[in-house]
This record gives sequence, C-alpha cells and structure tokens, in this order.
Amino acid sequence: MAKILSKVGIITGNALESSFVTQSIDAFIGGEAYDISLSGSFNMTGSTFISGSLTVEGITSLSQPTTINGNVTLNNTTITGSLLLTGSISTVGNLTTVGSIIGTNITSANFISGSTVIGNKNGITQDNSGGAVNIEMTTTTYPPDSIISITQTTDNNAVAFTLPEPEIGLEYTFLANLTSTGTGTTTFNTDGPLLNGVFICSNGNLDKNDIESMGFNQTKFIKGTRVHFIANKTTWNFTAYSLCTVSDINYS
Amino acid sequence: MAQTLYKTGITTGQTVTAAHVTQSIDAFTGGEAYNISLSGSFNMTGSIALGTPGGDLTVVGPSTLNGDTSISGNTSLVNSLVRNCTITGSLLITGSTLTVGNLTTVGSITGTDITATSFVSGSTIVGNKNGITQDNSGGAVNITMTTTTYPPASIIGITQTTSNNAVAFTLPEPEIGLHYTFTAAATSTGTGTTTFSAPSAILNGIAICADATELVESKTNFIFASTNFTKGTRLYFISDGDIWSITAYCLCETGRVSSS
Repeated sequence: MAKILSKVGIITGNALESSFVTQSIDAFIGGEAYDISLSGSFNMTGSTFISGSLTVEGITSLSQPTTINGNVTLNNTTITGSLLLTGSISTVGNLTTVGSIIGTNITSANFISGSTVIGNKNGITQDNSGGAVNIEMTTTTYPPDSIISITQTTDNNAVAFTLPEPEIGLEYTFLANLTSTGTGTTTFNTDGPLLNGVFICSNGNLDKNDIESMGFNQTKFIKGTRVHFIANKTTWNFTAYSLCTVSDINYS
Repeated sequence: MAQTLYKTGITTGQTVTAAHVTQSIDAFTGGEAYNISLSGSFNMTGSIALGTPGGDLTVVGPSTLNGDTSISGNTSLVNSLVRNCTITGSLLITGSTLTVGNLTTVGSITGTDITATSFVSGSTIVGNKNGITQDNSGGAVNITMTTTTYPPASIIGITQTTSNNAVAFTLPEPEIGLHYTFTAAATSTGTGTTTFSAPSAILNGIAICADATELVESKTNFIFASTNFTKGTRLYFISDGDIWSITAYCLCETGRVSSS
C-alpha cells in the first residue's frame, strides 16, 4: 500500500530526522510508493509517463501528436488535426467533419442525405441452374433499390419472385440477362392483389390493376427486358419494359 | 540536463545542508529541471499542464477525460488489439478521419463528402442525382464515358443546338448496378445525329416512341436522326454486368430512331 508524506515530528528547534527529508526523495524518485496530492498547479516541461490510469475532470488540451493505446472515453471533443482509429469509434452524439468521411460500408438506421448521391445500385444475380426458383424476398436478403439480374436458361425451371410487403419508397429492378429457355415461366408476385401498372410491349401497351401475379410466358423473358417495381404504402406499382408482344405476358 | 533528487549525505545525526532540503523545493517550483518518477498514484485537484513546450504525454493505462477535450495535433488511437473509442458527446473533426474499424454514431454524421468504397445503406436515401451538362458548342461531341468522368447514377443533360455538330456518347464497360440517365435539354438542331453506344453489341431494351415501340436487341448503337433528339427525350441505361439495358422515352416516331 502506498504511503503518504508526513510532517509529524517536524517542529522548529527540534532535531530533524533523516526520514523527514528522505521521504520526499523516496516519493519522487519512485523508490517507494507514495500517494501524492497537489492542490495547486503542476507544470511539466519534460515528458510524463503514466503506467497507471489517468483521469482528468477538467479541460484537457493535447497540442502535440497523441497516442492512446487503451480504450478512450471522451465527452465533447474537438480535433483540429487528423484522427486515425484502428479500432472502432462510437458516438452517442453527432459526428461532424469539415472534411470528408470515407469508409468501407456506410450504414444508417435512418436516412442518408446529400446534395448529390453517387453510386451503383446494389446488384444481385439469380439463375435457375439449381432447379426452379421460388423466392420470397425480404428487404434483408434483397436490399432496397437492388437490381436483380436473372438468367433462366437451365432445363424447364420456372422462376418466381414474391415481393416483400409494400413499404413506401421501396423499389426493385429486374433485368433479363439472357432470354429465358425451356417451358418455365417468369413470374413476379405479391401477397394479395397489390400490383398495379403497365406492360410496355413491342406491339402495344397493357395496363392492369389489382393483380397478384404478373410475368412472362416461356421463352418470353427476353434479354434486355426490364421490370421496375416501386411501392407506396399499400400497393406495388410496376412498369414492365417487355421485348415481347402483349400476348406473351401473363397476369392473374 | 534535468537533475535527479538525491539522498547522499542525509544521515541521522549529521548536519542537513540547505541543498538537501531545497532540492525538493526547486524541483516542485520549477526553479530547476528535475526528472520526477512516482510509483504510487498522483492525485491532482488543480490544473495540469504537460508538454509545455514539446513534451509528450504517454498514457499506457485506460484514460478517462470527463471534461471538454481539445486535441489540436494529429491523434492516433492505435493498438494491435481492437480498441474502442466511445464519445458520449459530439465529435468535431476539422481534419480528416480514418478508421480501420467501424464508425458508429447514435446521432447524425455530417460531412462535406461521404464516400464508401463498398455500399451505402440507409432506410431512406435522399439526394439529387449527380448532374452533368454537355453541349456541342465546341464542335462535334464524341465522348467515351468512364465511371470517373461520369460518376454512377449521373444524369447528363444534352444541348445540341450549335451548327451541325453531332453528339455521341459511349457507355463504360458494363458493371452490375451502374446506371445513367440522358435527357435532351433542348431539341437538337442542324444535321448532326445523336448517338448512344455500348462498348460492344450488348444494348438490349426498348424504345417507347410517339407512334409505337421499337425493340433494341443486341445492338451497339442507338441513334436519333437529326433534329429528333427532342426536348424532353429521356434515355435510361442500367447494366447487370454483362449487358446494358436501354429504355428510350422518345418524343419522336419510331422511324426517326434506329439501332445498329
């Protein structure tokens, strides 16, 4: 247990014991453990090495390069230089930079906003080489605004996707990477008659309301066909840019 | 060179010299430089100024800074193990920030440019498309696009109203999710055509025209005849990594567009 510097026995006129003097020296050369308390200020022009912990209740200013190897908890912090973190950083409050923010993935629980937003859509490919495809989409497995490229060229395996529950602003794009082959159809479904939209075909257009299923007959999901879905709160709007005739589409 | 406090000559029964006592005073008033080592704890209720000037503060143990903290130098929080930095207030960084690990905030993140080398995800993403304008006042336009010169999802507004200068764009190599929109800001004039090309015969899609639709199947070029890239015309291209899907919303008749 660390000691405390003592003044007991130090009286004017009495003889000084060596320990009265050496205690301070022992304390400040580290020869023995002493707990030191200062009520004034402490001004150090050299370096300070602390192998224990440091707690600063007041304002801290670190004007030179700083390395902190342990975990760091900061309250309000202003860094005018650059900040390199090899671990994670978490703020309960806001994070504001005058410069740029660069990361591998940037994810927000709420919205991401910028004067300009640049980037590819999320891309997903799907083929039918493993058998018939019948996928119930979720916003986890199929992130919003994804483009799903479909290759339907194996055997007679049909392809069917069921959209998630409508959610305002949610949208998906499907694209035929190759013209479908075999006897399988290509179908897009909703849970209930929630589909409303238009087929734009090579020989005319066809609009449909309150249908539950729409798609293409066998071999008619032609390379380049694009189907775009966007939801409002309760329904899905579709636009099918179809490289086939109206008679080659199906719906129910 | 800084001195070290000494005990030499301090023995019970012997005379203590003034230097024996004053060395501590000199050390702790800053009158002379002394190296001080403490192996116990150091409890400071006043202010502490470290590294003035030029000294370093090295803290090996855990640090807790409860007050407002200002770090005006470069700051590196480094460990071979994953270390976490938790900031319960706000964090303002006027320089750059680089994290090898994750950056998480309960509040908002605000920056000038926010760039992800992989994906950006949010429940809602708000913002304009990147806008680029192109006219033909400098002569014929023949541009081979790249994702650097034409950032993904850009909208390119074309004004083709000078002389007979043709306009031609060639899309970048296909890349899944890459998409562009072209619009006619004014109806094209002169004898020049307006052409949109893929790097090879991978254009597939449909042209929706005033009188009918026209298919584009495994073509390289999609062309508007002179004066028919009509104000309001819009072309949308999206790639799945192999092909470019084209949807052309044309304010002209099918006879005025062609593909090759």
